Amino acid sequence: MAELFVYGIVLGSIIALGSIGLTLVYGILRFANFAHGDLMTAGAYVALFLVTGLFSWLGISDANFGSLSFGWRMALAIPISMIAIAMLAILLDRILFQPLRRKKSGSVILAMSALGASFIIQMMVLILWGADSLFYKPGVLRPALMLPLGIKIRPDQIFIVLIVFISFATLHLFLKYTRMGKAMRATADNPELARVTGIDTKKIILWTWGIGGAMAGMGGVLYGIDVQLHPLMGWGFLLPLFAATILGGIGNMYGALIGALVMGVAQQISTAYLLPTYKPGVAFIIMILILLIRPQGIFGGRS
Amino acid sequence: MSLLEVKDIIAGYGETDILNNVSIELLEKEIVSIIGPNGAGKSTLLKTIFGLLTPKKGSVKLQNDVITGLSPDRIVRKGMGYVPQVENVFPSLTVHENLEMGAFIRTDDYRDKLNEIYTLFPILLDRKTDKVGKLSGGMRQMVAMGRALMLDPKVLLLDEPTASLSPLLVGMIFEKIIDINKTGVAMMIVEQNAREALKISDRGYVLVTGRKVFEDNGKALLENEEIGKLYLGG
Repeated sequence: MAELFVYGIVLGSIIALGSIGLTLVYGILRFANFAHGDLMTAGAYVALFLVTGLFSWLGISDANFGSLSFGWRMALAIPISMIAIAMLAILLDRILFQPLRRKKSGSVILAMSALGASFIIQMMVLILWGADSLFYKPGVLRPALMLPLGIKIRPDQIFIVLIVFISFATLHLFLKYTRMGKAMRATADNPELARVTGIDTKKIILWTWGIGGAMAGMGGVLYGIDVQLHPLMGWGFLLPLFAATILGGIGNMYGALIGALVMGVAQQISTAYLLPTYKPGVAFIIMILILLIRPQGIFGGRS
Repeated sequence: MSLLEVKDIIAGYGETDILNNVSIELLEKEIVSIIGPNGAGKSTLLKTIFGLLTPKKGSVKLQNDVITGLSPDRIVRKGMGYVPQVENVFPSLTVHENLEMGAFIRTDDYRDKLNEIYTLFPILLDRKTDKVGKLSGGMRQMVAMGRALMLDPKVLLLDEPTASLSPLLVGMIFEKIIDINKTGVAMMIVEQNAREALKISDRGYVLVTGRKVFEDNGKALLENEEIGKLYLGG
């Protein structure tokens, strides 16, 4: 059980990277971005292209860092994928969501067009990489460390949890202390008032997509390192992402982090009693329960 | 000289016109109240002046500069502030952060201005690091006014600043309005507490179903029997 808890934290950290963007976009633009999971997929595959393609062609060493399953190639691929997905998210907003907002389209239209974007990303990945599950390093042995309480954990997983918490701490400092970060929180609180105050909301929207996209991209890569890559991996994350976001209170970044950890742990612990295929079902049940009992989420936010 | 000049405004939502040929003005350093029954279009008038609603006809001039149809973020840069009636603060931000957001477009050092606001509303200084969402209605109103003052506006539009406040706080907010006005800010106030508002106003306009039916100085409006009966509650 302790081991499942730890695995839950690992999964939860990855979910958190996705739900942060979902909650920020919802807080500021008021629509459910169903393509957010697929931004994670895209991030994972951009890193795959870099690690197995470009970097190998450039002759960057394939040696691993200590007992981790990756080395310099991945260390470079993570930030580049983050930038690429940030740009993809901004592009998506520019060509799809922004024109719809200008036409004053309702949130359902925006959500449906996000669904369309989701399918496009999935199909692009399918066309380029095929439908099989892939690994950054196929066939590599990934030995686990033994921790007290009989917990087995791979060094990769420790890395994942660490990098997620560092990212969240950085994001926290950014939102708390920088002018742009404060303006982002203000805009999420009340977009109309932000505009009246003179805050450049267009710039805020750009930053929101950029940060949300970069985090999602990183989440995808980390899931690829921990488990595997698959064209539908992000799609499968959609339910836990939404459940985590709603659990934490929509628009609330810290709530999204806690919500994601709860979702991760709940899903992993459920495998002690249920088949792992029911994991999404667990996410769904939690989401419905919250919507019934406390629709504003545990930590408040916008219902 | 007219600081703000609103001329022949026709505006509304969709097909319905709420304002019919309304013309009003605000002179330098004045306090002007707009009173009238519910649904008279008072708030709509402020929204139209501030660019939240584009008028179908008519013009709005700020210091002889036509601002009709400009977006609120452009108008705020031209020296006009606006405090909406509801949702006029950022609830998850602290008092201090709310004030800082008011200065978002300032590129200079605005610490003196912050101190000025805290001198005006000393009670906010004690609650500086509290989230505004936790504060009472009266304090939120002070945060909202403080935020709007951060840009040194020449004109401040207040939409029902005392709505849903206790009588004690109503008096306090009006005192603050006088204090702000003394610093040279001209103010246009939409108020339900019409009698109180007129007491501190240089002039007042009475708006009924989207038309201006009376205008006079504050004292005269207060003493006008007809207006007293109809709009000031006897």
